[in-house]
Amino acid sequence: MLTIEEVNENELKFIGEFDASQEGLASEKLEKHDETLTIDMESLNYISSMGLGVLVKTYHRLNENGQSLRLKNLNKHLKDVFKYTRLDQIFEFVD
Amino acid sequence: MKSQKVFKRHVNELQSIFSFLKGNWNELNVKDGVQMEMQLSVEELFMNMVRHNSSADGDIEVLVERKEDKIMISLCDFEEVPFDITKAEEIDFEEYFKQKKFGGLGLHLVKELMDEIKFNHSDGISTITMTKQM
Repeated sequence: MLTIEEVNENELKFIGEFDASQEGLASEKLEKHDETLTIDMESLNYISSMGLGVLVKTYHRLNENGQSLRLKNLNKHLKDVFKYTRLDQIFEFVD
Repeated sequence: MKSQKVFKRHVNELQSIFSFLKGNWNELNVKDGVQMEMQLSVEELFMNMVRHNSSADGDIEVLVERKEDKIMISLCDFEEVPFDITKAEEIDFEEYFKQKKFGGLGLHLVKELMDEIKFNHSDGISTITMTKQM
């Protein structure tokens, strides 16, 4: 189960587990953002490839308009998932 | 010890699958990090069957087993034309990023996370078995 909180207009907080069944919810939230966005993942403990796909799609959309997608506070498991899928090469990670 | 359960072919079954797996972890004495990697790999294979196996509309069976210091999970599904995931093409990440793709990372992830993946097709049933050293 994934919960998405609005920290401010340029930052979201993902809480819980981002599995394939949460794709619609996450896409709907992310599509509302057109400017550089930060996602706080401190309380996210799981992400599958469907979740990664939503983030990559958002990254490309923002990037095409000169904006970016920043990810922060990833736990070790999430960092490993980004590393295994080489996505650590495109995303900007902040602490 | 062996445990098995069938699940409907739908994304909404993921929570039931996760509950089934979590119910087995304690008894099988599976470490936290391995639990997460196994859950992720099961989701990827299950969703691959749900989304890409158009020849089936029946349930998908999940089996969990521990043999000595190895945990093994199998997913079984009817499949008219077998797709052996162990022979799936590797991703060219340079091209992947250049073409701005955003899907298709699931099988790559499973191969990275698991120690061994085996595919078998018999009597119309495809079985994918993943093994992870404890």
